[in-house]
Amino acid sequence: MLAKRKNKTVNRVFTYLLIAVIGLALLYPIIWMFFASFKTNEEIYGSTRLLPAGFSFHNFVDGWKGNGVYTYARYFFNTFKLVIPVTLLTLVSSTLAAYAFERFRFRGKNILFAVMIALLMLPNSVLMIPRYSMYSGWGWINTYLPFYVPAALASNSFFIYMLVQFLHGIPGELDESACIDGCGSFRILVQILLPLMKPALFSAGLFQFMWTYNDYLNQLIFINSGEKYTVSLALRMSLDAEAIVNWGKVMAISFIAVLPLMILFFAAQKYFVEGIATSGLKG
Amino acid sequence: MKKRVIAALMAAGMMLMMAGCGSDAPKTDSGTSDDSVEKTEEEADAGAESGEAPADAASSGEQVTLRFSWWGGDERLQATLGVIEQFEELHPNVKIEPEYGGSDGYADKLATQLAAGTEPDIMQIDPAYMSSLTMGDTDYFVDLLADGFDFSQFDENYISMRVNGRYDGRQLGIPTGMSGPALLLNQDLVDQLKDEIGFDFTQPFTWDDMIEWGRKVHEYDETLYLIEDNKDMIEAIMLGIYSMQLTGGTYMDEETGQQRLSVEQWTELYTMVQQLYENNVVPPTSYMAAYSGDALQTDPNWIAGKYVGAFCHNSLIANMTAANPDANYSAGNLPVMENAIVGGWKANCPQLMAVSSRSENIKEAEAFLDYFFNDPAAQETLGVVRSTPATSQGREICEKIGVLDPVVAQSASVLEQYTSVETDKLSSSTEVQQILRDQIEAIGFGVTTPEKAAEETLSLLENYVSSLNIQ
Repeated sequence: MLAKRKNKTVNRVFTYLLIAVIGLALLYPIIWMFFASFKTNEEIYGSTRLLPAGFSFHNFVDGWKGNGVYTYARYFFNTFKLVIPVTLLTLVSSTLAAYAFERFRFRGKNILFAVMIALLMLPNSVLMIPRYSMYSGWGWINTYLPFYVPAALASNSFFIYMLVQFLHGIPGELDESACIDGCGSFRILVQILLPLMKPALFSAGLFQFMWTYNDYLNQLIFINSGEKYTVSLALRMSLDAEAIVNWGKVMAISFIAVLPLMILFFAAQKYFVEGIATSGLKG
Repeated sequence: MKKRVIAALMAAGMMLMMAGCGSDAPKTDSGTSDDSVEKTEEEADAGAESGEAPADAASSGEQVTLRFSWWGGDERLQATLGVIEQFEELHPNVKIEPEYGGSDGYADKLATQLAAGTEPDIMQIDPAYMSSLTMGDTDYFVDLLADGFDFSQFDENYISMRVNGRYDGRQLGIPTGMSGPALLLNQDLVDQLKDEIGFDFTQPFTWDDMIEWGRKVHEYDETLYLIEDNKDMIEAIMLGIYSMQLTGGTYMDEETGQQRLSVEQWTELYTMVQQLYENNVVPPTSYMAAYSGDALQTDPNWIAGKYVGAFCHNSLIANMTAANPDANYSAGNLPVMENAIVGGWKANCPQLMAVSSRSENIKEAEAFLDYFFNDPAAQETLGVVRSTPATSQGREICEKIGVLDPVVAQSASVLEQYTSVETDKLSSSTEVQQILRDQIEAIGFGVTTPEKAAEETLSLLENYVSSLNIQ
């Protein structure tokens, strides 16, 4: 009995050790980035030590000043001005589209659904030129409209698909009983289904936030003037191949740039993990 | 039944997608320029018409906005914004909107803009990318030569090369700077040995002269060598140039993959290499093995001043001179064989500036570039943020204000004397480089003869070309 318990303890210690080692290995790049933000170029190249020689915040201060035209305060403001509306609009539009596909019967629904699924497989690079010429024809270049409008029109079929799958797992009997109690279809969505969909909405929101936040190419192509630049565009400017790169500064700003994502992820972790785990299940 | 229809539709859709991914996706770039061909033709006409608009709108007071895009780091940003500000002060009616960013994705963005017709009026372009933008019937850029742009500050030899913006007699881009090979000399040692050896690097000389001087230098003092060079630099600088002087072209034809050099000519090239080693013009291969690639300045003998000179890229001159700061340096002339077809020595530019042919304000855009390249104040502001300036005036100014190393400036002036031909992507590929470096090393160690090396090289090059499936 005792031996068995001891065995269990050893097992558990071993498991936690393994998890800790893997976790550390996965976290190491971020840890390294954090400490590198206190180093000079010479220290980054010249030494393999993880800890910097001294903790001075001048890389953060200098880095924040940016390239002398705008500071990173401007770029972060722009990023949130772009990312937050895109995330919210995506959630609203995708929920409505998913609700329609999952709970209503209408002519051509299956064909439309098939087309939407097929769109999942369309690579972004194929859409680039047609989208660009369309948007430039409408005068949307150098505005955030190429990001807002597609989000408001649920153009990312991945989220619709994900929410449809999740809605599929919520029993239709709930809708029916709400209907008997006198709810209209919109009220069923808002008052009955939305609270139940929270995990899926959180994961969709997190994904969209992360993807838009990290996206470089689309922002590069649709945004021209420096005053509208986002963090990902501004950061890449400090990394020019033909200039001397001050890596400490780049690391400092990169670390600040990943902070919102990390905070958001930890804050919403409970829902996020639940959302991924259950969205594929049938009720 | 319905399900089956949908399944069939989906399958068809998927096959379409896969076909799309398989063949079209990697070619997005070329697809881009193809698509844009038709568009460009009509719009280029429109552009040409607008180009004939009132010539001096710049002074007429009509408000004009120009877009100017470039990539680069923070220093370049500051300097370029400074020049824009100066220009706007001189021309209050012109407003220039800067569109700057990192080099990452710049070419993709430009391709998209050109395809959609929304490119900036003034663009910085990578010369390697420029040729694909000028292919076929595309007419994206203004011919600055036809428009009478003032090129008097530029060397005609330099700007007339395709890589520097001259395509079929039309100047579609202006080179922003120059970089290329140089013969960096330890001037103290040159002065010390001048009477003894009888060399003069300020006059034209041949490869044979150089080999003779090298032999004498090493005979005079066994610790000294004329040239510091490893197999990589011999391949990258000497062999390619020697071949151009001999045949007037690169090793291979880029279009057909045809070999330009016969076995005899390869033998001649390798004989030159063998003589470098046999006459102790360069240090032994075994010694230089520790200082390969760009690491010439780490050789303790260079630091101790045991070499009269070294062939290196002029972007490395600052590193080389910093390794032994006690010595004085200069940039020498470069060897050219008797009856050479071309000089072969050449500089390339890191970026081109071009004006869109669809711009509504071509005259103002050209006026800005004129200021950008030809005005002393602009040169002073820009300094060397786009490498060594391509104009002699720009170099003088940069030297005066102390941002340009005088030896680098001298090496740029030296390069301007020679005529050259374009490099091609086959001859400068890493595979070809490796083939040649292996042979040079074998000759250096004395385990092969120039004849054997020549035969082997030719068969390896033919193998390489046939693996590429060029028609």
